[in-house]
Amino acid sequence: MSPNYDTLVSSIYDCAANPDLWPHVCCEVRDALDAAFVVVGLIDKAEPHQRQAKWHRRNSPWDERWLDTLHEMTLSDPKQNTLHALDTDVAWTQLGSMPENTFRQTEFYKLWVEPQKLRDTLNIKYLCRDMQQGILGAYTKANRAPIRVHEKKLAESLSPHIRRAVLINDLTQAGLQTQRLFRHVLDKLSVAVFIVGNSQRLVFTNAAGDQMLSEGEYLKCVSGSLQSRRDVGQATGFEHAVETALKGDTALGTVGIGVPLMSSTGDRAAAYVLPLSGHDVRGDLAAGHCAVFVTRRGEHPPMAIDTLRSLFDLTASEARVALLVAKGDGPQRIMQALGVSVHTVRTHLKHCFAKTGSPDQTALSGVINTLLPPLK
Amino acid sequence: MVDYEKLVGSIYDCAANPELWPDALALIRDAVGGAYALVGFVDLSEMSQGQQPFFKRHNSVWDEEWLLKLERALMLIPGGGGLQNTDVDESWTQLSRTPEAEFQTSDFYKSLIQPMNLRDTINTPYIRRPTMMGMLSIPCSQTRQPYGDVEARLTGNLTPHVRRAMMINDIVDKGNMATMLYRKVLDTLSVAVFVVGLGRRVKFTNARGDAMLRDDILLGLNNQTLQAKRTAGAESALDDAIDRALKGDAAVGISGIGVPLIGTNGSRAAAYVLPIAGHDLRGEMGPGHCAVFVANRSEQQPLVIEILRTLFDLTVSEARVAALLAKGEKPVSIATTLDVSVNTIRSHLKHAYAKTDTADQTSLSALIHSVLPPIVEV
Repeated sequence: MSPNYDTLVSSIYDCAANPDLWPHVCCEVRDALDAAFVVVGLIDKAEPHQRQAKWHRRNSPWDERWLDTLHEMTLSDPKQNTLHALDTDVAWTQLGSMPENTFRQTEFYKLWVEPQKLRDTLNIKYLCRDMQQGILGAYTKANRAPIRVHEKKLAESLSPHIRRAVLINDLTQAGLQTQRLFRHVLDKLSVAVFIVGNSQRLVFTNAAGDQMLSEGEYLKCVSGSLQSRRDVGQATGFEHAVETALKGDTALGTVGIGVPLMSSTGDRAAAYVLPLSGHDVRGDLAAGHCAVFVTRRGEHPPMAIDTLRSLFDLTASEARVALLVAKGDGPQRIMQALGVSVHTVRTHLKHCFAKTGSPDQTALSGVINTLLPPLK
Repeated sequence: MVDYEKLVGSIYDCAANPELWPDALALIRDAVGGAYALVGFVDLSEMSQGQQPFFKRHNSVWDEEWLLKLERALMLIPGGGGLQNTDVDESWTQLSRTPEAEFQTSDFYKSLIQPMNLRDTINTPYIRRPTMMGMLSIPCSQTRQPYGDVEARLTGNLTPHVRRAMMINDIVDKGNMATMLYRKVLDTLSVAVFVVGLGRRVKFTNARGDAMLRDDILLGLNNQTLQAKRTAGAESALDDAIDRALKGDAAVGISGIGVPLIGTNGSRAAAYVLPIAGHDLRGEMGPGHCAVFVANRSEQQPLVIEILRTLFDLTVSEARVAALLAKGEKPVSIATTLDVSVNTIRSHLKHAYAKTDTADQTSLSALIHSVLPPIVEV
């Protein structure tokens, strides 16, 4: 067993957390195998919309122009079939598979191996699953002996670790993808969302929340913690609600509902504090978290006139009137906004009532408002 | 002798799945020749807040009750003080620190070690920080020799791998933690959320979305794809909107595509389809994802009363009237519901207008809707 086996294995697993370290591992493996360069390759056919297999490559420093042609070369090479047939974790060597004289007559040798002053190659399949094949390749210089048995053994002992590191990294990446999707969804919401952890530490802010913080009204982030603006003379109801929620207190009751927040101009917003701790959030390591939603009196998100029209069979003018009603406008304002007579507005309204089954303006406003998405 | 490579491999299996620690530790136990093997982690950071230190351990099969007793008796270990000064990846063995005859007179030995027929213990820290310590701990049975250099070398070789596996697991866990928090927030929303990926397949549904699919009135699932029961527009309106959003159609814009839905019971709702894959996502994962939000008119939230009281200082009666108004009720029917006169209702409303700076029923109702959070009732 090579004396630096533990170091090698450790470096491989460092790539599980940080794939950027693969070139570093390639260097270490290169030195351990006394090779010219080492390539860790992954052939990926996972994307159905891609016709050609994707070839990812990490390698120790070497002329990239040569390496770029490697994949194509190996595909055209007859030994490709042998490679496909390889068992996982079993090392294959070029000169172990055919006499050197025969190898020197191949196109692969003449076009690729000889010009780079190389000699032997070791290939080992570290990963083989439905749509993916992973191969570690070590290429030796012309001035050294063909790959030896103990070098094959070392490669074979490293192969399972490379596989494991790649799989762990896949797992992490899949988790990150989900996380990013969720974050994108939260960013679409018109309501400001904050996730607060231990000691009022702000863990997450969605796009609307970012906007609110950058405006500096209602809430601010002071050395990483979310605080209400006490300078405008408001009570500490917000801080109290957050603290209670962080304790994971199921008896939060109504403390977290509609906590008033004040701006410097005296405007108000409402904060909703909800504990997020639960059995699946590891209450042990991560004490509670809570979510803070902040809504303020403001413009409604616009609903597309077309959507409203087709929902209730409204005409364009009726839909326009209905949206203004939902905004809170009375007939006078609507009249001015649309530049039509009160009589026309009344007629439109009557039709809107009939088509949406609402007895009056307030009911119509309710119907439309509940259909509005909480989106930006 | 257990194959060393396998041993190392089994440790890293735990990086992805910590539930495998008992298996890895059983291999370590056998390689070292111990009675059991344990990796334990003590977090002292919460002691400052007057709480018990936090223990987390994984072990090969052993009497769990006894292990709990051991956790509480750590301070009693003879020579245990030296343990805190043992370097990472260096070994501390019980019988090299304390002569066996002396060790056997200790309470620790009599109450814990002797009853389980144990003898020596080898402890090798794999992590040491000011407020936390992680250790690989392997006691052996009375039938074997005390530990020597061979075992010290082996555990010293293994602990760097244990440390690395734990750190990788932390990274995985941290990611999972964030994902879980986001999901919980999405689950509190009163709007149904569906994340749709390649092939219009639904990848995620929040709690409200689940309920909507269970109801099977507005939307259903067919082969993992979202199906509109009926739309007020073209039959394929939802499919088309999703396809456009998945392609990242710029024309979809920020506000998304509204699709009017009609339920099997005649109820109406609007689905909003928005692309959510920015460049960062599409590059790596092929075509993008989109989100479908469905707001439904049947969602009414009695949170209103609390909100109006705190935000605008309405009295309970005023808030109750305003809440019913926002639901679409008229003063006359509110009077009947609350069993008071219409005049009382009108006077409540007048106060509510003044306090909220609104002019009439319609604008008060609109205000209430604008301050309602899109979250489900708690």
